[in-house]
Amino acid sequence: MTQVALLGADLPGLRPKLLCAQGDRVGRGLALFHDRANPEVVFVSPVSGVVDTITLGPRRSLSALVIRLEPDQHEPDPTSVATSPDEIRETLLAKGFWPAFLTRPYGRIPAPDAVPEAIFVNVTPDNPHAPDPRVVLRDQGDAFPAGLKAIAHLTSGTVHVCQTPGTDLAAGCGDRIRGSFFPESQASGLSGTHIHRLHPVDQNRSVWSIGYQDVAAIGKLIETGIHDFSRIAALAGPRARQPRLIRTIAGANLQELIREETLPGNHGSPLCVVSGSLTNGRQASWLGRYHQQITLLDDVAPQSRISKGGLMGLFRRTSSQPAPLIPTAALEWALAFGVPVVPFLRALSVGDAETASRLGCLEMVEEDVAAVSMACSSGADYGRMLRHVLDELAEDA
Amino acid sequence: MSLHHHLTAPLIGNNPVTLQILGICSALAVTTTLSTAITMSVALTVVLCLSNGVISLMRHHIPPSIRLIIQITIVASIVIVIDQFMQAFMFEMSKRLSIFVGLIVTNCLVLGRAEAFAMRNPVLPSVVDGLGNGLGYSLVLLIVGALREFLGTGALMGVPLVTTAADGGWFQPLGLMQLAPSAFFILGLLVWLVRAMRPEQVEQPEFRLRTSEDRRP
Amino acid sequence: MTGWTLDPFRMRQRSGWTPARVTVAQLIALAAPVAVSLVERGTPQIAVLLTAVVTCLIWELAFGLIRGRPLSLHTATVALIFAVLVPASIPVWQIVVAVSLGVVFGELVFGGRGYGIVSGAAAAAGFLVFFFTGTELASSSEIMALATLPGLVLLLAGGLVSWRILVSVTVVLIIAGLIQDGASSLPSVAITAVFGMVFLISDPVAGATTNPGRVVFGLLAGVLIVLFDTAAGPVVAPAAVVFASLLASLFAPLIDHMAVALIVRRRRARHG
Repeated sequence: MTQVALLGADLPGLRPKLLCAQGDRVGRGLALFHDRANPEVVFVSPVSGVVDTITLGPRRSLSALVIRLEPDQHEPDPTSVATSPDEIRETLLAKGFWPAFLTRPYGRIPAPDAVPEAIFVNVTPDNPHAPDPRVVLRDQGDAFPAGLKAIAHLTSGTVHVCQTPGTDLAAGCGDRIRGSFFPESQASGLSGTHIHRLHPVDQNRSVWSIGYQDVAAIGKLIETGIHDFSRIAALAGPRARQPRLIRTIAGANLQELIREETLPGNHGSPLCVVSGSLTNGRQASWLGRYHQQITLLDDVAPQSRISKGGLMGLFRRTSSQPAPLIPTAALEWALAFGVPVVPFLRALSVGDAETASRLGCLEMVEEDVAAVSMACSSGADYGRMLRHVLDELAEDA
Repeated sequence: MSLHHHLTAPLIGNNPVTLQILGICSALAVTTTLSTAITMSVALTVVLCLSNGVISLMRHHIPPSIRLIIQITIVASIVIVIDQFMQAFMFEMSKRLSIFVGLIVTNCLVLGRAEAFAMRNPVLPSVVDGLGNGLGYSLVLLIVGALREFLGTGALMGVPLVTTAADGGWFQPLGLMQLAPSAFFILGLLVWLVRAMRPEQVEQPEFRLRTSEDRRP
Repeated sequence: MTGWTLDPFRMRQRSGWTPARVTVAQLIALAAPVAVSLVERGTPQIAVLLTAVVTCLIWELAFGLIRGRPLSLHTATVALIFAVLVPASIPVWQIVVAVSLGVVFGELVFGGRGYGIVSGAAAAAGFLVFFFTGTELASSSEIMALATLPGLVLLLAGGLVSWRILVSVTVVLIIAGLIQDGASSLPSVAITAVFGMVFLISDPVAGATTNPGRVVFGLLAGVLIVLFDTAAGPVVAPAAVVFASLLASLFAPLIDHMAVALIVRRRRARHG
């Protein structure tokens, strides 16, 4: 592993104020940039090394900040253990663990002074190939319960630990930390489903969600003062030579990671590397900050694209406009929030934020509509449309 | 704004029927034959010119709170005179048009132009505006009437142009043309045609389907 | 951003219905009724079928070229349904006029399949009856009704027609049949109404799109069939089914609007 990146794709709508420049030497835990709107929300370097490149995206957002690893000169001293709620909040903000939280509605990083009505810890795998959380947490020791107790200080409500049926991972952590069990089903691994069942949100009620690996890392930080940005990810997909769990870092360079891990494709087709699962992921060269899976599959070779010219080309021309939306029974089953599907998708397709909000889009983020995008005949990316609508609603809120 | 503009703009660029969508009711009802359409067009144009002229003459003296009542009274008086005129000198035609001449009073085009133009402009421009709008309305009525009569009976102005199947010929008249919905379809096609030629007349939709060309500003 | 369609790798993973696959399923479902119509009505029916299909495809091509849309074979299904509905004695030029008006004003003008309000085949059949007054649509025979059943099973299994619409229409027709002519009339009601029910009223893009709305839509369509039925005795006039489909489709957006309002109100009550 020689390179790690912080990606703008993980931080939609964020405008960074850079605190470092290309070529700077950075230690693990050093602040690289902060949110221009909320300067206390700091993003730190997960490794020691040198800032390789900084690429900005449209409207001065971040595209990618790449760090080249260098062997540690010295590890930063472990800081003292935080105990009080304010100290915990400050520590999380300063040490770069605040972005682990995402608000619901809107799916954004919370404001530094926000207090949610509840916090949802997602300890469910979101698809059959994702890492099994119980396996991952087995050798983390006390870090997970410590993390739960720490984040319980951030809210006055409950911390829901949403897990698959089995031993309660939240047992004995306190009466405000409750375990909830979700048997495996199509959407059981998504925080949206948990929140819809236990604490539905709208414009006036908001909760936060966080993944279990981040909670364990927070626990480790609070207990020992060591910041650990490592992550267990599952290597999966039809072209993975040895599907298994690997230990890596969020933002790791996927090309390096999978160098020895791929099977040759049939007919020599190139490799498509997806960060995340097939339904929820994106084709990328870096592991996303919220992703726990790397999927390897066949890509379409560019030469095999049929010529677009002539009359027959009219049949095969793919327009940039989505295909017609044909209401089918499969579509009705694909969205789990009690929302009438076709009116909702139509509202998203034209960007009608008001109707989408009335129908309940505030309960969802992109991953919740990924299944609908796969089931819908139109081939439209409703996740992108939802993000657009949510951004519009967030600005008006 | 020149008089020439007032006269020619309502023909296509600002046509009262295809753009402003006024006066549709009579356009459906009286266009079963071309002769009734012509008569109605002439009647409406005369009423429009006269009413615009009279209202424009009185425009500074009409109190705003009761202006609609006064306008309708003026229009109704003119229409009654026209109706009596037609009953006296064109009895057959008046019977075919029956109540529709009297209903010119309620034609939104007349009141619309009175309110939008005659109340604020001098006499000569108002009369010319009335003439222009009347001509625009007449153009639409003539087209619809001609199509309906020809496709519905194979004749124009009562003169057979093609031999119908009933008389042993090849032309099968379209029964739908005798009914009002056909006027709706023809009007719709006409509006489509005009807006295809003049895209600036197309109203912007409230929502558009999201395509890749859309970007947040 | 690459646009609002799915990334290519996710597009390739789609295993559910795409518009092309839906068209194929509908064509397969229509194969048996079309074959029966050809056998029953003989060689004139071939001319009817070919004219309808060619007219539809020409208009699809024209709109595809002018508006820049990718082509599909969907209008062929419109042509096939229309060909089953009309008798073979209709002159070819009348078929061209009716199909052109139906497919253009029923579907293509709005943006193609899924963007219109009424079913294209119902619009074409409606135009035929309106424009050429005195035209009678073809009534189904027992064999035709039986031939519709495999297609019905296929479409139901794939989720392409809503069972709620079918059940509510059937319930209304059964009740009306029992009241009017007694239980012995039900078979002829079923035989004459089934093709229109499956391919016109239950057209996925022409009906209501919410589940409670679909029940109301089916009830409305059933009531309209009973109202419009001018044929004496238990037999259902095919024109009744066509016009019931047209009128009910016009009400479908209103029905959906009310269903959505109810659902939203229930949500708000539940979430406090």
